Amino acid sequence: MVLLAFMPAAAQSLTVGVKLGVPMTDAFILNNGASSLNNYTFDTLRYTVGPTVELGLPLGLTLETDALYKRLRYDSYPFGFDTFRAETTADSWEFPFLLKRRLPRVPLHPHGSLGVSLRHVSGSTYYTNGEFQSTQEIQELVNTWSTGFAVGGGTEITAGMIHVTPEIRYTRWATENFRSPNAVLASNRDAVDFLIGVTFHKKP
Amino acid sequence: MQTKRAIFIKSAAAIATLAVLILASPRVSITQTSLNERITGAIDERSRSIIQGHLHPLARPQLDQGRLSPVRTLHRITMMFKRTAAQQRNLAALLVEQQNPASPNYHRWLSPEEFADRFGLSSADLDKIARWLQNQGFTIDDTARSRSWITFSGTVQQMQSAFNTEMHEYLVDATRHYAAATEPSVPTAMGDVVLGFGSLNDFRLKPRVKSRKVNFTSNISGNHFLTPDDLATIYNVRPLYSAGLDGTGQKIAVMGQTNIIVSDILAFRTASGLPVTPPTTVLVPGSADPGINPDDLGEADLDLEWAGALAPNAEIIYVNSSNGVFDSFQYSIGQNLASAISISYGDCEGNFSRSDLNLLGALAQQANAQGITISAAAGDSGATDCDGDFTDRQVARLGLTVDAPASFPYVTAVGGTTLYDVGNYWSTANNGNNGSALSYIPEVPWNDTLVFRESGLSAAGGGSSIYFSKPDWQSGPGVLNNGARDIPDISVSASLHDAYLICSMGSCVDGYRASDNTLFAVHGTSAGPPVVSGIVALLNQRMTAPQGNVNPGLYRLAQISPSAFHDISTGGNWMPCQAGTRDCPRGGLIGYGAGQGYDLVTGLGSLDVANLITSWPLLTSTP
Repeated sequence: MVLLAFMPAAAQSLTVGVKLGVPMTDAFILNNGASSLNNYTFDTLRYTVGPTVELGLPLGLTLETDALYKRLRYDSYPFGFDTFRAETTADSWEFPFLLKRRLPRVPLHPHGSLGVSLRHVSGSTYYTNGEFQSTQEIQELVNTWSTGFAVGGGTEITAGMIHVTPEIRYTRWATENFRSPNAVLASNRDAVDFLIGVTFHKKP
Repeated sequence: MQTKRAIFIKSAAAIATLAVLILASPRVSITQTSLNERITGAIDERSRSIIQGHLHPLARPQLDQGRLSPVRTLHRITMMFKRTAAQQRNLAALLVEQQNPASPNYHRWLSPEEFADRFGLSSADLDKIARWLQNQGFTIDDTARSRSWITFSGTVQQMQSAFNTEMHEYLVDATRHYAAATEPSVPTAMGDVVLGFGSLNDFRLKPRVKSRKVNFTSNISGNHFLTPDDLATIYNVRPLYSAGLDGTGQKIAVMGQTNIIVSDILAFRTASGLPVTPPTTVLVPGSADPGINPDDLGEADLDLEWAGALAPNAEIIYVNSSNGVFDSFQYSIGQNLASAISISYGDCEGNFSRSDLNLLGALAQQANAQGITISAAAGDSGATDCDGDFTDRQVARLGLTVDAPASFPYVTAVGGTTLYDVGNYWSTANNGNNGSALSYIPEVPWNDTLVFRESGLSAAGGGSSIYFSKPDWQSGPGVLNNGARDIPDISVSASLHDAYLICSMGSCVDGYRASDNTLFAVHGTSAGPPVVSGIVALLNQRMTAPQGNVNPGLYRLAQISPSAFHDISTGGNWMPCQAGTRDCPRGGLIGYGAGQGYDLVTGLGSLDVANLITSWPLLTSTP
């Protein structure tokens, strides 16, 4: 926090842009051995998108922060029987704060980053048995916020003011956002994303 | 003329008698003198003490139909006596000690007479009250062996005069009831010893069974119905049978309020391959003949037939009263009829007068002190028990509520499950006892409303009591830190999906089948208490002694021997609710979800009976 406080003053440049990406891991894991009732299925929607900002710091470092949106979805049959279905959709926003170090003189301009990440999840579950419908809070959402440790690396291609930065980023989440009551479904605490940043670099 | 020898013999006999009296008297005199006389002054009719809590919540002023006929006779009114603060404190301590293996009082159960000497009224006070009641014109029906209550009958006029109250009629949901319209009072000299009155209203507890005649045969429909043989397989009772446990020497008292057709019970036992022995029927003395009440007969049949299902050689005692199951319950405890009581009747807590709750609680405490295990149904309307009284109601409006007497800490509350039998769990053909279950079948909470679109509210009762605080023994993973007694404690199959076969009103002509080849099947949490009472009978036989309130043991065993339970960790007892009503601001569903460990839907889960009973001795050997 102290670092964050003095960084704007020390900033030497500002980069803004957008990040697009593909989650390479599933958002959820299924532990089918946890219960005799394996009543969850999920889809991982393979996209993530959001704005990114990068502040230049002394010593060749930059501070990157993003707001990456992911859509989460899973279905369940709370009683096992397919007559009563629950469809859950949720919005996930990840806010990584990463210290980034570039190696500009090396071919392909590799960079590495390290930092923390916050994630906020909200959404709802739609229940129906054909006759009855109801939208409720998500029963499996045990933590709306979670924190994580993130590390990444990639390259950078520059064309004028435009920088294109493909990157692989790994995040280890300290806590789960989701855990089903029977422990069959849970958040995947390991996340690997392939991200491409398209940023506009503006010297101060 | 007496001879010297005769005089000597008489003198010796007198001395011996005196000696016996002297030797025997210390215990009597100690116990008698330890119960101080509490009615010390003259009973002055003009000075009165109001006994609060008798205005029944359903007897609302707007439903008042005026005074009850003064010449009508009210039978078996109970005056329950209040324990002194010290007695209540000592009883609470004793109930804890009786379940603590380290205590010298562990499982040292009291007889009703021993209970009287420690927690009852003194004989002198009891005599004064009996005389006063007789002076008011009442007929004394009986005085409890525990000197904890007295039961009497009299006219409405006598009732109103003696207790300075008014008895009115009320029209509630098109049914006429009577209840006290004002709080009764007693002479101040008695005010400190009267806890309250039972049967000052005729609002009865309701059966927790859902009956239906099945108009198809199981092999045509593919539906499955439960027989005792199935339940013995599903809940793993067979190893106990192999070990010689079958309920021999055990007694189960089933609470009822209707006459029964004994041939139905015998037909069920025949079809189920159980010993064909009739239940012992006890009509509470002083009760009028209840006759056969069709609304209660299905419940009685279910309870009597299934109480013997898992403990085939237990003696089943049917206790019946025209004054309702409350009266049957009181008599069973007062007479210490059995070490297991099954009561599949109840109502939501909010529909009890405070006095009725007090009286039931006092009775249940006495039962536990005598070593009696009470099992009660947790309710059939999901988390919204009060809405269950409205059979046509499709959505709940009255908020989150639970059923009593299941919510009493002295009672084991039995909830409901549905067998999730997707897979190979049933044989294609029945065995000789009409069973076809092959193994344990995974369970989910019973919620026919959501899962099978059953009309009305039809799901396992569960939630938190508004009256009873959390007992010390209710702890462990999943138990909420909410300060309230939570129910259920355990669960048993209760869904329409796998309804229980019964024989009722001559329905069983060929095995379980009627002459038109149909079956009589029922479901609901009503099935739980008789089934659990049968399990308790096996447990008592195994332990060679009654176990009293088994709840402390159940919660402890869930932690040291989890294989005794089938934890049910998904689904819920949610009910659709009307937006803007209590606990339902936005509509949708209200209730609770099941989860790992204890939950407010299925409690600790269902039982693996063999594992439960074989691991029960761990409670005494594990610190």
